[in-house]
Amino acid sequence: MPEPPSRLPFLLREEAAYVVPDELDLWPAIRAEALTRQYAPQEIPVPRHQTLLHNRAADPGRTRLVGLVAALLLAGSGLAGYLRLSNPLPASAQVVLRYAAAVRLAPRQVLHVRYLLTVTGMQKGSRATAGLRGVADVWLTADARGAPTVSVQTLTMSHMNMISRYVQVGQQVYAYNPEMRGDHVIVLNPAQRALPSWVEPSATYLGSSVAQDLTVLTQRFPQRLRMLEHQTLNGHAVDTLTVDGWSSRPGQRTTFYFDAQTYILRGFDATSLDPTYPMPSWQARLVSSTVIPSTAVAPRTFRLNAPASAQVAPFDLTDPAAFQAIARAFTSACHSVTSMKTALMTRDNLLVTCQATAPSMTAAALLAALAAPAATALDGAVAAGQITQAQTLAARGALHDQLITWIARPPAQSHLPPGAASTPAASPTGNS
Amino acid sequence: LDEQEAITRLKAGDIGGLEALVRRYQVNAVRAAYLVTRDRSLAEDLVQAAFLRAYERITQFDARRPFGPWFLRSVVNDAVKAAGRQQRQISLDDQGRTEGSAYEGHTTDRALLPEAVLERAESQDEVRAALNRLTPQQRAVLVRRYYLDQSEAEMAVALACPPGTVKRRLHTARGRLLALLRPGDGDAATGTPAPVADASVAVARPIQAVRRDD
Repeated sequence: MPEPPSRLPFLLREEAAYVVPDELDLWPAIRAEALTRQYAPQEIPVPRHQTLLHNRAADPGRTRLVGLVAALLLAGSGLAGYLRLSNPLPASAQVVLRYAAAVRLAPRQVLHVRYLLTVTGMQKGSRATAGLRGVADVWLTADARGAPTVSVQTLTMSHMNMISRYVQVGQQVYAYNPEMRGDHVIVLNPAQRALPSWVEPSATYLGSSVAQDLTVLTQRFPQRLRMLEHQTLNGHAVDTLTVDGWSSRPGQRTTFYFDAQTYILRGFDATSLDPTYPMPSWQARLVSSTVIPSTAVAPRTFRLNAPASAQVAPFDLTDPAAFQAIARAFTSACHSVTSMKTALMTRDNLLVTCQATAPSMTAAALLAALAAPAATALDGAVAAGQITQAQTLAARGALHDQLITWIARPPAQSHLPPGAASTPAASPTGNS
Repeated sequence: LDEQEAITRLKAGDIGGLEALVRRYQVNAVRAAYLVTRDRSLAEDLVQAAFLRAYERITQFDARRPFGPWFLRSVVNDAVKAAGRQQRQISLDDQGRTEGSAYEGHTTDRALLPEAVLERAESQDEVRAALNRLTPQQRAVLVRRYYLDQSEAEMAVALACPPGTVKRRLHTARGRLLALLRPGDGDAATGTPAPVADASVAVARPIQAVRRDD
């Protein structure tokens, strides 16, 4: 006799889907961990004398002798520490990081650094497969802890005199790179990781910021950081640290060269660890480093300075993060129990769906509510002086044109973000 | 990239194969683990660990078998163990007090909600509260049967026990769920189902949902 139909599977799915959204993405974390395990350095075998000492320590009869040895070791390490301070010779990666992290900008000071760049291993089909040479001109301001607050990176590359400019304010990145993109749009990216894969984040050029990040990283993943042989870089003695997976880039191995005397960052190399994730290799070498008062900085130094004719790139409504923001705005404005995604999937008119729970809602008010998350980002860009009022008005108009199709008529399936097309009744095993 | 190709690539050491499998199964795996553990962070950790384990031991996997059921089964097994460990760390007194107050909170909140919200919320909230009070093993048996859609025969293989035992565990889990949906009626501790003659509107729908399986 067939089993009677039950709502329990539906309730379980609904309950799970309520807590775990379709947009869940574990892949970056899994990938990072998989690569770390794959490329983790082999365990260093314990030297025989250490093993012997350990075994002897377990013998009560030798406790006094071990205590004496420990006391001598402590005295020796204290002397080494003194020598380390009077004549900086790196004793360990942690010591290098501690000194480098201490080289911070004072309040109201600005760092201006220039690095010579060599970029090789561009993807096939790129306009610069033979590689690129150029200059990174980086300006940074930092907070009291030395973390960059605003940074501007201008890359001028030899190939076709390609100039690209990136401004980062907190987690917000503004980019204008017309030659690379082949258009004249300004990109407002929500996160640092949205930088093109072959561009290093500006914070990479600030030694104290790098040292702080690496210190945090090594507290969780100490095996990722290694100290290499003492070496010389362009005539300067450097302490060399190499790290696997850094700055949201799990497939990247980065080698940093800290000046052994001053602990400023003399350069870095970045290469791809993962053959399935091709990434150009970077070599950056310090040319000049200047610290100047913020009052002496030329106006518009920390602005994107895109031409007035440039337009803000259209918002990608299929981006899961953007879609989620709009969906939350819908739920909030409409007090709706029906998610926006469900309404779109069932080809319901969003305004009608909204009015079921918010009867006084008008098309204009709903449009304004759905556009609010993007409008906030645009207003922030105007307030920061990165785009003009005219550019933000044009961007708002384009966004309204996109959203009006969601409100007035149901969209095609292709307008939905990845994962939205699957129905709630799909087989949980993914075999359907 | 289909599943077979993904596994072939993974066996050849290509991490792209793992990505295809993660993208295909991550949501359902985390949801299944969550239904057992009732802790999303723990569920995500378990699924990450399961994928990494699959990555490291993929050479031992028989590529002729479907990956999904094998993987999801191992995730649920891990979830049962993890939930058991977690449960042992919680004082029974604290647990009872927390669940009691949460239940009362739902009742109060529901009165403030519009009718449309009420209908949906009552089902979800009642089921959620009741699921929270099942043991991890009881939740797992419901998840296997009603979320992963495993047959009783498949469950018997997975749990290494006779089909009759699976049937009894399912019956007990459903019965306890039913009893918990009707506080005051039936015996939640023993899993004896309660009559539904005077079921209140607030809990009628989830109760019917469960009873149709009996």
